[in-house]
Amino acid sequence: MSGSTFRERSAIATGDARLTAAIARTAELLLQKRASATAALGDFEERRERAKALKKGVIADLSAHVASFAKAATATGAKIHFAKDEAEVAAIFSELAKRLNLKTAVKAKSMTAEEVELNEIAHHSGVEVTETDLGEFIIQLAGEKPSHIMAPAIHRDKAQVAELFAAKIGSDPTLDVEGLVAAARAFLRQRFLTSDLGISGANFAAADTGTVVLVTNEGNGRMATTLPRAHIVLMGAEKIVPTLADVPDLLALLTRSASGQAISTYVNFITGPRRPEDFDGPQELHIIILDHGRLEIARGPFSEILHCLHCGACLNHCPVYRSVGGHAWKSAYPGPMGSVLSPLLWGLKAYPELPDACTLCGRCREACPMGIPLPDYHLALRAAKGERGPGLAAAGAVAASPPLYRLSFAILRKLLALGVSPPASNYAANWRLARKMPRPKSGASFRKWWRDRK
Amino acid sequence: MSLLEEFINRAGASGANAETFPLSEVGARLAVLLAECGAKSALVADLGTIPGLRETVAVELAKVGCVALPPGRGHEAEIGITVPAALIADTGSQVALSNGEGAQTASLLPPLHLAIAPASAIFPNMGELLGYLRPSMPSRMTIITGPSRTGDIEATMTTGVHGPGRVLIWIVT
Repeated sequence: MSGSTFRERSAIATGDARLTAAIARTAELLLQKRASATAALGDFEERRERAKALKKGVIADLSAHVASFAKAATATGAKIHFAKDEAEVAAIFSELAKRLNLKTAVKAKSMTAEEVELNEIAHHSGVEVTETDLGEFIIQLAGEKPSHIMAPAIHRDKAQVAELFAAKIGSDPTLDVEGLVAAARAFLRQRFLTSDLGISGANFAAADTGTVVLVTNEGNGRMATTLPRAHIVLMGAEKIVPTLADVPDLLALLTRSASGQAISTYVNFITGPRRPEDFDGPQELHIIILDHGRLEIARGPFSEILHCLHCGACLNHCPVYRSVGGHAWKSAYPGPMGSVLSPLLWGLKAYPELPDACTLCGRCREACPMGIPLPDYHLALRAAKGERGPGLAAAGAVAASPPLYRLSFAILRKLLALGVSPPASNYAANWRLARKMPRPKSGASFRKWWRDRK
Repeated sequence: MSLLEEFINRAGASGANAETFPLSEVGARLAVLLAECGAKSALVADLGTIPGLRETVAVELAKVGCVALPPGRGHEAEIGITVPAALIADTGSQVALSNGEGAQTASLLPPLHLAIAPASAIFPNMGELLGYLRPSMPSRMTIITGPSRTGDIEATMTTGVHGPGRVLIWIVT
């Protein structure tokens, strides 16, 4: 989406009736499925508290957990790589591509891969990547970025997908959803069977056994991590949990919050590369653990954002997200969680507007399976911007002094009664775009009314 | 409710079809299934953990001229037949491991997956299963619940994306 500011991109999105309808429809459906699944659980609150305590322990000592996981995974025969940022991911990836002679890859959905633009990195390393999650496949064909962390093509309706498939893979333009799914299956099956490399993220990584856990519904994650001869996992350091026994509880929260499922169709537990007794699986397993500021975030005031399971529930519940869609964020991480994570990963200077894209309604915090205080973080990031124009500074000084406050409001009332607008700061100018200045009747102030009644 | 009943309920809710009957009925039931689906090629994993099953399956496939394909041609198969390493009652899931011959691909590549499991293989929940396997995790373990599905186009649930669209689970006693 074009538009250089959040405001411009939002305006473009709200002008697109198909986009807003597609997002509203899917977000509402996901929201309702989540509501019934979490209600059926009966003890959602208790589970949330347990999950939060677990992740808090991990994040409080993230480096130690990374070290434990790396040790256990190495013992399984996996090769561990640490990447400080996307440049280091690129260096690791291109070295592997060259050494293992990798030319083609099938990829399962990974937002961490979006974070470092791994497809670009692969392209520059001579590896052509095919996205295999249906949503990711759709947006790859369209040349777009995902607009939702769980449902990447949420902004496109089925007619648009049918047109796109007809143009790009030559399928019948009148196909229904089932036909479109079958067309994607047939196209991608060949890629699975012939690609050199499988690329995936990780939903969890167990530090005791060195196991990577990957959740999918379509089976593309299974294909990508079973059929090719090499598998590269790119995971954020915060995905680590202390033990394999911690996985079921977090998984139960993740799938219910994301799509209202008690469990996803396929939960893959990957513990090292193929062994002599195995009949399937890649010979090479490489796990890239990405820092990209996470170790720093873990020590700072926004550490709970690293508890995020990437379920997308906060997006589905956010009135701003539901109105403008994910592309307005122009980040791999949109919505309430993205408004926190994006400025923390890339700096507030890169994303100064995102913390403002919040009405402070609090629905995201209520929906979050980890109870992350997202609205508080949005407020804190606004404060951290340190932006305070002269108008707000003056208003602050006036509000701090009762005599000054009374005097200035007496003057303001007189002016407004005469129909004179006060000098508008930028803030008030934006405020006034959709509002008329009030014209109070002369003499009838609330303060006076209150005094008279006493 | 017994674990077996719970399993059958939950598997049904996930979109799989789970039934239980004596091992001696497998041949006749397989004959009915093969006639109904018309599969001409099969990918058969190692069935050795259930005595006599390998032979029964081979006989029924031969009767209808359904060819058991070698692993390298598994993607051409119209039916995959496996013995899951375990079942999980509270989610109605079955478990495929990497060290069972062909279990991963036979439960993934063909459009129809038939899992035949002994009733003794049921764990109450995922935690119990992981506790049991933890000392010796196989390189790949997949917990499978229902058919392959996607909701990526307008959140319309559609089955049979990359994995099987139809999953049958026969629990033999």
